[in-house]
Amino acid sequence: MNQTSLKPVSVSQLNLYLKNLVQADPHLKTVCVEGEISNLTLHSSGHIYMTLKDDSSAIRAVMFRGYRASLKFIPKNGMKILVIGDVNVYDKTGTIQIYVTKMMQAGIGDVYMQFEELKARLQKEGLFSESHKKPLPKYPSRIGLITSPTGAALQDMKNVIRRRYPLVEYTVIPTTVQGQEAAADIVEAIRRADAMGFDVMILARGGGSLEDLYVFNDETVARTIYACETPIITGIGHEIDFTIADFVSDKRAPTPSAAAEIAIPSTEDVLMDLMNSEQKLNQKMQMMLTTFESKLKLASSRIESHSSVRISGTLSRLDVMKHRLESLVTVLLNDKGSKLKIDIEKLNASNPLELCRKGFSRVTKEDGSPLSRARDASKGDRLYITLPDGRIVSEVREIEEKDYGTDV
Amino acid sequence: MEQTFEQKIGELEEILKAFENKDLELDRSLELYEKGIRLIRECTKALEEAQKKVEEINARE
Repeated sequence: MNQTSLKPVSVSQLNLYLKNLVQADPHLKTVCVEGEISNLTLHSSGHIYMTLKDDSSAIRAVMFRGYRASLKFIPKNGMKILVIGDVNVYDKTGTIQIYVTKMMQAGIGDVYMQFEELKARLQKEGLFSESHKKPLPKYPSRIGLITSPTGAALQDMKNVIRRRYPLVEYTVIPTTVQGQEAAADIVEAIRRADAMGFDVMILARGGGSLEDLYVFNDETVARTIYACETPIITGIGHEIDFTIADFVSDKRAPTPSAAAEIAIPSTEDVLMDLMNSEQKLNQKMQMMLTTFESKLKLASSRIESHSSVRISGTLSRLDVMKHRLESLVTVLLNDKGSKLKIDIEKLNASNPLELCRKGFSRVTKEDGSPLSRARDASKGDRLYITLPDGRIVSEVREIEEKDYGTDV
Repeated sequence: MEQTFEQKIGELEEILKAFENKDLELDRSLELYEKGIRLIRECTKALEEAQKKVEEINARE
């Protein structure tokens, strides 16, 4: 190796080079490291310096003041912690260290695991199933508020109820809502509320740290919620907070106020609904009347047409009959016309008055018998000649017999 | 026993549904209509009274 070929660099240059190298490595960005705190310095500037170590190794770590706000505990030497941050080189001392953005107690990590485990187990068991979730009543008349009697959550819910739907009657079922011992308290309060026959109930707690809300991840609380007869809404913490109780409840609301809003309708909406219902009812009734009117019209027109068909039917039948009769008569007349004429003539011929007009008359003898032959009369007989206006009495003077060739 | 608000609204919904029935008799429809309008009046009145009460309480406080 040729020593002269080595060109010296400054310490600054070397450290800068190292810094660039480390910064360029994606694996060294956002690392999560578990270790024990030692050499802790809570600096007056607000920054926290420490060494993170395990049984055989150590690394420097720093948390700047700006990130301390998210700290939920006071770090102490010997404490097992979990840090999240970027690895970088502190060029002033050439030290590699972790620039921590998040720090939590390792135990909390266990709690997180427990949460995930319980959630998975209960989910598998069906405690979160949609089919088990009870529908919420649209217009509840009584609701139960399971919460701390002194908390902001209760005040928020009361305000919402009063503003939105004063028709509802609410009852507070007081319970403690913080700390592990609160679980039994909450379970008891839920059971009591469930037995009170509310239309719906709300389990609520205002915002707090993860640890504060942890009681709502209790398995007994979850099972108690699941066993409820009454629909239950949870409003726990803030939007970002999800607890096991939220998963198992019939409806999860992001906050207590939101839970109250979900539980009850707004008076304005209900009044609007009522107005709509009235309009609908009127329309339907109007439609009903129109329908019946048209039904009536239809029925009456059918009756009319029925009867008119019948009448016109009868009329036409009558017509037909009349025609037939007329034609019959005509036929009859045409057929028998001549015969009838003859008969009439015959009748006329035998009319005695007609005969008289021609000079014929009825001649009777004294005994009243008609005289029909000249030879039946004798000279000196009295004969009666009957005419329309009287009788002539005559005496036979002479008889002149004549043969007309007729056998009389 | 006096019906709750929810029961009244429920009955109102039933009435509206009943009008869908093509075989609904005229007499029955009139009966339902009368009942429906009465329910609407009662519900509206109850709501308005509750609202008024709250306003009164708020004014006192």
